[in-house]
Amino acid sequence: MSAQFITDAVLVLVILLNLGMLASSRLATGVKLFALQSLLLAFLPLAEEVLEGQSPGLHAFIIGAGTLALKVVLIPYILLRIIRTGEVHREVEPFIGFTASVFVGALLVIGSFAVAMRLPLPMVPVSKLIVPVALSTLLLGMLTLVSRLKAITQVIGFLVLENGVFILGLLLLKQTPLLVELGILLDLFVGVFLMAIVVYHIRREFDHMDTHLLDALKES
Amino acid sequence: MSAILASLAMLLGGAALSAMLSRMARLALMAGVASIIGASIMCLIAAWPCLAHSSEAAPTTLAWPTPLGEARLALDGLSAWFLVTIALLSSTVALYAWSYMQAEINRGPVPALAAFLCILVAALILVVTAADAVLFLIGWETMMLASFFLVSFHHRRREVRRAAWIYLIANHLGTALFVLPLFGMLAAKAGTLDFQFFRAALQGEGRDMTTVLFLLGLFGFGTKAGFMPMHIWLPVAHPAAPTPVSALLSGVVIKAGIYGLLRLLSWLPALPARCAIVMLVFGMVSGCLGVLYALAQHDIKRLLAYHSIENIGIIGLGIGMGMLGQSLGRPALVALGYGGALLHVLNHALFKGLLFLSAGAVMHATGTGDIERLGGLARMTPVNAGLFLLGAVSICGLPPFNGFVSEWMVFGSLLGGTWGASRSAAGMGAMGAISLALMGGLALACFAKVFGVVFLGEPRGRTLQAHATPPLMGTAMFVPAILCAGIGILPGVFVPLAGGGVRAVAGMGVREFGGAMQPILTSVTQLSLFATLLAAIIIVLLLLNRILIKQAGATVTRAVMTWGCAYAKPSARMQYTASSFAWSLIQSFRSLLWPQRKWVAPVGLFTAPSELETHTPDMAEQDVFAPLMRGAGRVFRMIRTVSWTGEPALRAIPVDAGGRARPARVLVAGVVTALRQGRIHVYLAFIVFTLLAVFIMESLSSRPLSAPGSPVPISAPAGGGIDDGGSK
Amino acid sequence: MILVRVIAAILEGVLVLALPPMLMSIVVKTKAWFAGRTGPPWFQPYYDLHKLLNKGAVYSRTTTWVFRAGPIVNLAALLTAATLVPVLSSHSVFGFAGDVILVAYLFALGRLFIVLAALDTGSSFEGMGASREVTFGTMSEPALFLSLIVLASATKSLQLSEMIGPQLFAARGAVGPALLLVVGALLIVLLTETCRVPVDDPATHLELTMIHEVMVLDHSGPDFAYITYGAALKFLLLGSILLHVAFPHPAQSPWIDVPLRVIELAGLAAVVGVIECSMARLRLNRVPLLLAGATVLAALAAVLALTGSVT
Repeated sequence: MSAQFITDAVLVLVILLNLGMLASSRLATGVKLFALQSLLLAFLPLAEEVLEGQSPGLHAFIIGAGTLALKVVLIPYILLRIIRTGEVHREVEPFIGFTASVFVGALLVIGSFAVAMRLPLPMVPVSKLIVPVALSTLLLGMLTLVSRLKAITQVIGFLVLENGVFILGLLLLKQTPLLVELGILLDLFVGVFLMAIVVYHIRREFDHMDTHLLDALKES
Repeated sequence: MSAILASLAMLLGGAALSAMLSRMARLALMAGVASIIGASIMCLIAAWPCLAHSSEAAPTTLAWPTPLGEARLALDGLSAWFLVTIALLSSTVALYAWSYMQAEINRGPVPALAAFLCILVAALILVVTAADAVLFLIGWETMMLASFFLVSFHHRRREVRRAAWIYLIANHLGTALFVLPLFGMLAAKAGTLDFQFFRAALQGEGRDMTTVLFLLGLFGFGTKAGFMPMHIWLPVAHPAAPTPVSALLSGVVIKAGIYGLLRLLSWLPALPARCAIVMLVFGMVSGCLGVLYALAQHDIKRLLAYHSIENIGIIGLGIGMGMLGQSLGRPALVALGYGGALLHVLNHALFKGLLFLSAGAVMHATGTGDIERLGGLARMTPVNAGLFLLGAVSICGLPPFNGFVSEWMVFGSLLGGTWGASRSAAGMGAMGAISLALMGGLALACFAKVFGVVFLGEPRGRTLQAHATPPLMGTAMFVPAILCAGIGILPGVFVPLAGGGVRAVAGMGVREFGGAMQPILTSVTQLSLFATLLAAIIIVLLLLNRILIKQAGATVTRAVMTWGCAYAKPSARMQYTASSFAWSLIQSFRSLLWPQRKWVAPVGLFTAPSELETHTPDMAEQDVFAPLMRGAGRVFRMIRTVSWTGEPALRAIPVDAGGRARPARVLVAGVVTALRQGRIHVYLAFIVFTLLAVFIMESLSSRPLSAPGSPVPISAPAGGGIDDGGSK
Repeated sequence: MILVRVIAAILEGVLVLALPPMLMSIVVKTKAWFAGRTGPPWFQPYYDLHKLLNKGAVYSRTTTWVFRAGPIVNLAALLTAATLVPVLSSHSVFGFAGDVILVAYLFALGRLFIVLAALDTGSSFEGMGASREVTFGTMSEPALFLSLIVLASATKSLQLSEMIGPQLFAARGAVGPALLLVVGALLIVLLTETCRVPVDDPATHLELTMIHEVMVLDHSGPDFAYITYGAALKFLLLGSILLHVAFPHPAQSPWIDVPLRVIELAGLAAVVGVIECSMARLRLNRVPLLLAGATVLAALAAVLALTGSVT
């Protein structure tokens, strides 16, 4: 059980959680899975520094703590609250069936492994899994965005996508200034906050949260 | 060699005799049957030394000239293997036809059938022994025409005529567009039509040239063999033809396509890996979709026809792994892949022949091939049921029968490809292995359905009458049945016989091949042990069962009703039907199949009659070729009206459009409406697609991460630098 | 020396054949404890088998020889497979390169005959069970074979006793987390193939919701004993494969190996019991999703193993 094994296992688990989000039929489950994924990711910067043989620095620590506070606690709390007060339909309504979207997701994962192996990288990553996992998290987030109807699921998709960006950012942990990372986190929070307000109002006006009912004003 | 000439002469004589005896149908049939059986024995005699000692008979040049040179016949391991396949199945079918056709003697053109059967077998023999392009093509065309006439035996029925025309047109398109250009290019390269110079002439060819030749062969011969999506004639022609003809079509005629492909591969120098990947993809698609469509059919012959497509897919997987092994320079993969493919050619001829003949016996006995109306035949025709079950176990690739041996070899090559230097081989091997596993599971489901619904339970049709199988028909079916069991129980005897064929295709030396084959033979011989063990355990358990029941004081209670969970009045109509049995699988794969379901649900307390009907039309036929043909027909009609004006003499074949929601059209319409309605998901999807496209382009243009010359990832499309190690 | 080995092998064989009903007993006991009951005696499955073997049989007038062949061929196929699977030690009785495919296909042979025997009764209940059995059996096939691909490429062997034997112990570092995914996939395959919660509930009394139990409604006497024993044996065989992957042992003395495996098997049975207590049977239309999950787990493992992405 080396640190390497644990890092790899965590990264694999991140993909599994992504696929789990695609398979889950409950909105709340999706949010909880996202929180779990973010929890795992929050420890990755620290683990990376340990793997490279340094003692964990303040930089990694702050990023970890910020992720923990925002993506594990605050954002899931807001989303779960909306779901609880929404009370209309708690089930995810997919365009594509659950089984089908899991398979499409698996294909995307395989594809990102194939692509990642051919991408030229400036430096040797800590784990060979980082790039493919980041790519597949990005793609699966997009899949959630595209294939789900509810506004909440779209928020989740957006957040997962951002997690993908976060994993990719691990490669550049040293090179990225702390300010930029914190800026991203703040942006994320503001984005989700705004979306939460929008979703709340959609629900209050129309009594549902389906985005596909919002295209009644179409030009045809 | 003279034995082959003798058999050809015998067949032509038989054909002439049956044509002359057209007034005396019974005698004509007898002449045809006798000459086919005689010719088959001659073929076996001719092929035996070739297989047993893997010697090659010297090419025979005939004195009479064909239009573009002299006629040449040759026999090597590959030809001999196919010759044996043809001989075994056609003699069985001839024997069966003698009994089966008695009922038709006063109703249909039986003498013509006998004559064309002789011609078909002769043409098949010619195709696999010709050593000259012109003679090969003469054989090829004769085979096609003869089987066209055989398919249209019941020519008074409209759907039979339609099937025959589809068969003729599809196969001629394949020949005209691909096979003829292929031979044209080969002849231009070699400067001769003689097969023996082709290999040498192609030695220095570049990769692009060999790829083009391979693709021409794949599409041309693949149309005959029935690879998806060129398969459309297959499920139409098989049910329309009389049973002996369906058995021949499925057992050996489609194998002529495989023979052509393998013969082409024997000329081509080691192909780039991308060709092997194309072959494997064709194998996977044909295999999986073939068996899925089969599962959705309710006509027993149509179902078996789709299973032929599945088995051609399995053969394709074997060929693909053989090619991949060649391009990677791994003799073990070559021996397992090509060996498995060749063995499966013979095995499929045997068990599919057996199944078709057995299905024919069912139709003979009951007058229907609609499995929803059958049931309980195991009690009325027990021998036939046993034979069908044997065929079913074989075709599902289950031990201890022959299907398992060849699937085992193909599996071995696929799994063996998953380790080693090449990642493309690993990925393809893994994908091939899971599709073969899926095919195995689906085939099991399908034959559980067929055997369970046709032979077990109670008759579903209220007025089902069945008479026993005529003894001669039963006897004829025992030939393939015994061989199915024999190959399964003694694979160590039969597998080495395919060695000559593998060497001919791969161009391997005896020693290299022997080295690759040795471990395979060691393992294959072990299979006999387990077949024996299984049989022994079955016997012990059976005896134990008997003894225990005896001990219990003979309290065996028979003749009671099936326990219906306390329901006292069960009826035969409450049984599971084929539709309902297969539905849960079919609807899981609905996005691939687009099945239709007509369901009138029971409503209220006193319900009106309710019904459930499922129907799965062929997507390639309905959505690809039918529109294509309609378009072509429109163009031709326009040309014709320009020149002649007036009503065209021959109306275009009406194609049943049926008002069905067509997948392609639904998709296009969906995208178009979505675009017009401005859905946010669609816009997002476009962003995702663009991003994916950029990814793929980027990954193709950049060099691999690892050291140069190292293998490339699994799913990189065929354009990039896919390795061709060993092709130089 | 050889004599000792032969005796050891015979003893192991006897133990393997005697063990399956005990595993079923452990599952039942676990469930009873969770419900606060004592449960039936430990040897109840053995008493049941004894009782069934000494009874007569009832055959419906609809059935044919296929109905009687079903239990026999099924058990024979499983017993043949048992000679190829390393159960307690790291060796199997027989073995050759490629035997792993034979094992998988022997399971399929058994399934075909059980299904045909069910269809032979002409009852709609049994037809329904048969239909579900082939559906889920087919869907679990890709997961099983993908797992085998991972093991084959890790050990570079196609012989089952090597794929999950000490060779796997040596290779486990190179495979890394892929092995955990395979364990997950194999667990789902095990639950599906042996018809346990969350796919099927062996304890339910509603014919409409069962799969395996509803297929064998009409069997009685020794036939039913064969079926019961066969189901337990299948659990033992698949469970052993799972355990050999989950806890690969190095090559070591059988005096350590065998007791350890017996304990692990008991643990697995207890885990299955806990699963049965802690979750409900899935709705039938959700089962394909579960099996898709198993396939995806195994596919991910295969991608990791074949691309060599794990260091």
